[in-house]
Amino acid sequence: MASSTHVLCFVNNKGGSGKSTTCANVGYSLSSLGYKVLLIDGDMQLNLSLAYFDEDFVLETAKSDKNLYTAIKSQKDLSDYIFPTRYPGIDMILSSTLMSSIEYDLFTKWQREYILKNGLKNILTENKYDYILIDSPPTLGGWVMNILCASHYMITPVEASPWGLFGLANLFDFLNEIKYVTPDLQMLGVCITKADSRKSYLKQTLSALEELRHTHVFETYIKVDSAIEWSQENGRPVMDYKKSSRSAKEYLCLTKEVVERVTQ
Amino acid sequence: MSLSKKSIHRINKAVETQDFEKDSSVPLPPPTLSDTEKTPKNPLQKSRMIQNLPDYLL
Ligand SMILES: Nc1ncnc2c1ncn2[C@@H]1O[C@H](COP(=O)(O)OP(=O)(O)O)[C@@H](O)[C@H]1O
Ligand SMILES: [Mg+2]
Repeated sequence: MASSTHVLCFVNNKGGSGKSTTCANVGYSLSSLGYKVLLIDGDMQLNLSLAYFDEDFVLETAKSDKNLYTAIKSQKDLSDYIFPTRYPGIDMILSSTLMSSIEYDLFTKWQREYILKNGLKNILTENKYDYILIDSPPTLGGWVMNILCASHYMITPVEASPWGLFGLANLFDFLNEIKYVTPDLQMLGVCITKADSRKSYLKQTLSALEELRHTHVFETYIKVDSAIEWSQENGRPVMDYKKSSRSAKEYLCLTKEVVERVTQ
Repeated sequence: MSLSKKSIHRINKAVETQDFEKDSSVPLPPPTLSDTEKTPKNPLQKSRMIQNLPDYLL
């Protein structure tokens, strides 16, 4: 039976582009729209984990056996690595700082691009989730290949800066080269993050992006908002921390666009 | 040409050689260099995005 679960990953090899923030907040917004969500923290920086759990629990889990690193290393079914968050309808597989050595662990494995995809098979068959969102590290190695191979859709958060767009072009060149490994992966869209509307440069970025053909740019862009940092300081998605904040509203709009594109 | 515009052209070129998009019913133009200059922008996307900007930047 085909699964009805949509698997989305947030990928950009440029660090600080807003992957973890966007993954965490799109996840929460999806849940607020009534969808069941599984979040997977694919980065050793543990940021997605920290967006939902307190530091003690995140570090404890990172050291334990019940995290993504252990599951991938031993090629286990990921169903056994899921934790509920404090929000009904949102679960998570947490990461480990040991993810830093995942490339070595993958290297000797047969079909090493598909370990994550295989680990998700049962979860997909059960149809327990409407969405699985995967946060990724700022790299483009074998582990990110696993994330791309396990996903149906990819969303790329990008900072409105010249080097942000340069990095985006490098990412597309990479995707082009690996297309034969990920033929089913669809680029759902590019999302502008940390936009500072006081800066005249934002206009230049937006006008450059208008020249993009065949690549969707989400209409909602996420502006700089200190509520994001405060929410992260408090281990909560911004919509829970401060529902009235600008970024909470923007992430909800972005999420509605995501749902529309996935289900269209 | 500025770095950001050059990057956008590089993305267009990459996408034109491989079909990344979900909506593959949109016919892709042939991947020629001169083509990059000719194709009109997407007016809908432009107006909606610019709408979000404060007036003094426009
Ligand atoms: N809209 C925003 N406003 C203010 N700060 C933001 C916003 N989005 C992200 N940040 C901050 O920018 C930094 C990088 O974001 P992050 O999501 O960690 O990027 P990535 O996961 O791509 O490395 C973080 O410190 C985060 O708090
Ligand atoms: Mg991150």
